[in-house]
Amino acid sequence: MSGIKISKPGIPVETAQPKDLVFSSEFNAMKVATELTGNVSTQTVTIPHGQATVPVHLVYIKGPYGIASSQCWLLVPMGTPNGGIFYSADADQTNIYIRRSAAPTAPYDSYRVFVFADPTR
Amino acid sequence: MRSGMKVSKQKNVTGTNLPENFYDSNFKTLQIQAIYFLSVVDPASGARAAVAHGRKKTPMFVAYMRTNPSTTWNRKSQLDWQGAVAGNRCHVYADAANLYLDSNFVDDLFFPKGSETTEAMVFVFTNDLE
Repeated sequence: MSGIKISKPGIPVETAQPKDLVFSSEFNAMKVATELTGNVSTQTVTIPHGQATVPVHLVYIKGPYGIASSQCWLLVPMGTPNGGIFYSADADQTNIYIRRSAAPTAPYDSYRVFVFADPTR
Repeated sequence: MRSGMKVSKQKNVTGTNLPENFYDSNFKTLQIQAIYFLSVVDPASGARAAVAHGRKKTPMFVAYMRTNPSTTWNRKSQLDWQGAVAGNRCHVYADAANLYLDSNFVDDLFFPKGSETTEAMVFVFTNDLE
């Protein structure tokens, strides 16, 4: 036997199910390779991700939406709650692309991108 | 001085690098702080559910949403309502205080009162968005 498991408090680690483990070396982990931030100042934002393969990624957008708070973040793909503007994101071997349905005007929306290391190789 | 921890895939861990490591303390991993459930019954324009996440900054999150009577969960922070009325839409979003489930549905078009619910299951991670 080799590897390590860490169970939730009160659960015997020897018999714990995966959902009751806070860590198990039996499974791979999603590792954040890099985080990228900036403003959506063009209709398509092209961001080099620096990974060898097309990476798993999550893109968040914060804008002056005028809903509960101007500091709200939404996960792409999404449309702005006040309607009209839609965001999508995709990636190839070189870049992550954030696509806005219309050309932006100042003040610009902000983005934060989480790029994950390839878990499949 | 050596510090940190690596867990490799049944190899000698010394000298292994990504992606051979199932865990590597050189990298942040996604860790779940909590899973929240939000719901809005009989969504109408302006309906909102909120829950405090207890963090000082806006947390990273991933949302799944569904509408009752559907049992299908969608990995979206936005759910369009049947496509029947343009602009009818639900959103999950976050700020430094709360998670929100917002609805701007114009009206209950399809189901009797009390029979339609929009639900969101939100995974909140230990990472911050800002």
